[in-house]
Amino acid sequence: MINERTAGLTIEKALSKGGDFAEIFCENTVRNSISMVNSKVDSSLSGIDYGAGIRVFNGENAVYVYTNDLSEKGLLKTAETAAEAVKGEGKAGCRAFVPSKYDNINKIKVMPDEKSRLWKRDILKEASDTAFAYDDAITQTRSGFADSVQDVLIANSEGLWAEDRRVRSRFTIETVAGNGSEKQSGRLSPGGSEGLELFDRIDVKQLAKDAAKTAVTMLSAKECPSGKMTVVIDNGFGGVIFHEACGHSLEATAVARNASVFAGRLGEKIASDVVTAIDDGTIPNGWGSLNVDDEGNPTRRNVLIENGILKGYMIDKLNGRRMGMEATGSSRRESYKYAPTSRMTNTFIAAGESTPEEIIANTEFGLYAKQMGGGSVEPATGVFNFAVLEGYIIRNGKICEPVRGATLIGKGSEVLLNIDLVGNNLMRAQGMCGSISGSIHADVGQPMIRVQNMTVGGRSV
Amino acid sequence: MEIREFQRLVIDKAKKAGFDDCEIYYQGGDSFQVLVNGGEIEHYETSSSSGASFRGIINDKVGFAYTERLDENAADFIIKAAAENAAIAEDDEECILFGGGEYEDLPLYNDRLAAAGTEEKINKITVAEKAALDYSDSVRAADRCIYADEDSQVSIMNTKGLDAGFKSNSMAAFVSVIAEKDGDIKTGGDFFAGNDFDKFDAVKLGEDSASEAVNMLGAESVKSGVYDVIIKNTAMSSIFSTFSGSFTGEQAYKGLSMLEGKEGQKIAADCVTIRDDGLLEGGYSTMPFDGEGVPCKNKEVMKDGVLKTLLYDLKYAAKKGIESTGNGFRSGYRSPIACSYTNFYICPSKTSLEELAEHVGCGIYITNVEGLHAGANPVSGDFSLSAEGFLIENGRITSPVEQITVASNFFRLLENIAEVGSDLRFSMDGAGSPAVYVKNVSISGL
Repeated sequence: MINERTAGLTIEKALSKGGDFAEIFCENTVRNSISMVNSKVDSSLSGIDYGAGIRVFNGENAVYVYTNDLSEKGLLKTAETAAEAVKGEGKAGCRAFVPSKYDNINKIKVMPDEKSRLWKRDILKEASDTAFAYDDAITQTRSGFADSVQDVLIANSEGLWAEDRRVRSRFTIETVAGNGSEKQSGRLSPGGSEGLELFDRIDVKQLAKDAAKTAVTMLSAKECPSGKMTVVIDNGFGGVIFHEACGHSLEATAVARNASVFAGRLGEKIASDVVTAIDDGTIPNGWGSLNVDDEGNPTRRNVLIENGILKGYMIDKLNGRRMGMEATGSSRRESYKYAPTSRMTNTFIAAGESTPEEIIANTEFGLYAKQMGGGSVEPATGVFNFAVLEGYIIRNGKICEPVRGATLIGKGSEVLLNIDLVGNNLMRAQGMCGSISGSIHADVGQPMIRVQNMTVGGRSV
Repeated sequence: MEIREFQRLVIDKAKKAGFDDCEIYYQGGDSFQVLVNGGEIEHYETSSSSGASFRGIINDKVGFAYTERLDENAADFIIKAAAENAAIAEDDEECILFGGGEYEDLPLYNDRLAAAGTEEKINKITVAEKAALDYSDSVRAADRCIYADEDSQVSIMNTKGLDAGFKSNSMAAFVSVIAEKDGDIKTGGDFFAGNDFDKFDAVKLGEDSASEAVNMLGAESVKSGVYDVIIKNTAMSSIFSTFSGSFTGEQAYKGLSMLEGKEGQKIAADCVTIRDDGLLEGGYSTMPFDGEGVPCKNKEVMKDGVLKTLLYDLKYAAKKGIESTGNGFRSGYRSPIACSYTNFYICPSKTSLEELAEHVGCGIYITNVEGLHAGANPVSGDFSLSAEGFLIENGRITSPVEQITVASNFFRLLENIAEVGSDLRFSMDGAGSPAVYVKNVSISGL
């Protein structure tokens, strides 16, 4: 996108009035998406995102500027705006660039543009038709496919020069079941850092049936009872509980400003013994996997919690300075429009010993949260809220009637201590995570877990 | 490349590529943002960015594409991609491009804001932070104090003769506060938004933000049960915004709205009147025309509980055989047109919050709801949200309440509104509401 000379001159210009570190992030992303409503193409979109962000550190303070103009003249002008915001004397320079080398963890078999839009459309149509055929109660479907190819270049004043190509593909099926007065929905959306080989590993028809089944089941479900109870959260997207309630509080973004309940607690017991949690940006073709993070550093497998003990945080360069700690390959941003900061990649609770059958059989009464919706958390307090899309009552060790409208609320720090059983069936699921550096691709995951004494909100008192 | 040059280049190339008609929408601007912490600048950001969105008609079908790179290669890319996207389009309705109209001359560009210097802006947000920290001994930190402004321009050009544009600027300031007392931690915050720099009262913003957090200290949960509640203006605006999709002609046409076919019917309590006013003076979503060049209007969406109209863009209005209500918007140049609101609000009465509390007598004043993106089903209207607020005892707002879940259905809630208040406030996305008194809401707590 830009050559070494332009990058070097831009970084030097950014440091010309003070500051001790400067970085440029350049991006060219080509996106395509097709969305189908009720078996008809609703939209088919394409676009190019293109721009560069320049960041200057002056001790623990940062300046960020960005532009769509990647000409040398345009970048120098933008770098000057950054320099003018830094008070001081220009002392730092730019070291000679050394290109980063790595083994590509996200190998692509079929690039998204190797098949036509017609080919993609036919897959979406098959999914939509399958969902309609599943049950007469299905009144609407939405299916979609999105692919993107993001080329990035990251260079900094320490001589780093890293390039990465991030190819991503994701399929979505959403269903709505209705009976006149009520509507309920189901949704599944698998994807990865992969090309069109995604369709070799997923069964589009089965996903459509599963999403339709959720909507139909919930349509006839009664309202979930509310109150404190034992909750069994299934594997896969159930990991959103850890992501929201704990993961965000382990990001340096929250920890460095002492706005996290886990700040200053490394080495302490923060979860029950059965909980080990990991953020791993190196899983081949994982949705949140990257060869290098958005500061150009290799991603890593970071153990966050081991057998209940807090082992580490997810740290970016700037917050690392504030905390006096090393960055962990966790720096991410949606695009050049955002300064990067510490974020999750693929975050999950590691597999435990119990079988899912044992967990259910040993639960006298409780809520079985089979499908979770999204959620949110207040990092300072760890108070979270998330929706149960598909839930059932567990009675005498058996999964009984479906219930709808449930939400799980509580404090992350308390829930971690109240997890008493962890299953052996770890699975990851894909999500988009929104925070201060934008919306990024992130996997959540867990095996089936059981939480004691959780507050369940529902309409039935 | 200059935008007008790019627009003309694309239109010229599109005609050669076989497009019968086409349109280029451009949005660009400069922005500034600063985050202060402890009187120091923690983050400072400026940007200059823009993008262009193309839609064109080829073989009676519509194709879209956008680009942030404004050069000849990008022009070729968007035309080729748009043609391929059009080839799989299945919408049999004719795409309508608007030929232009009479536009209001709105005061969208504030010269005082444009003239405000960087030092002045940083100083104001620093003052807000200090006011928050000084508010009470319980304030531990004002952890996010942000000032942001932007200067933007929009222009649309098409082959039907439309050639229009406008410039605007706006600013916003946010302060969020962490308060702590006896090990209990609470957060709170507030914002100011508009384009009148002199109306931005930094001290008030800091104090209001701090009081939001401090007043919640010592909060306790309540017993589960059915309560009469008042939902605070800001919380009700958020709820209203979440379910606003149901008020669009697009969602109704797609069968994703409970309001489909309900125009003319009584669907809410008598005290509920709703307007969508794209020309509202000082509104966050005020503009002369929508994303298709159709003039914005002031419309009565609901009158005394009776649904009058949904919100339409050109396409969904045509499907219904009516005129666009000026509600076709892009959420940016990367998105196609969708129906959405402008300044969309529940009209206030003259009843103050204190009077509402007197009328409630005994209940809960809900000030904040969390989890709207997850705990709400925008189609069915069902929601179950974690909430906090205050008890209402003997007609007065008293001690703080936390860790409760409020569960209801938005459409039932509209029916159960007993009274609306006078304190209309808009959230920054343009949805607004006064506080509302709602009977019989299910709350779960202890």
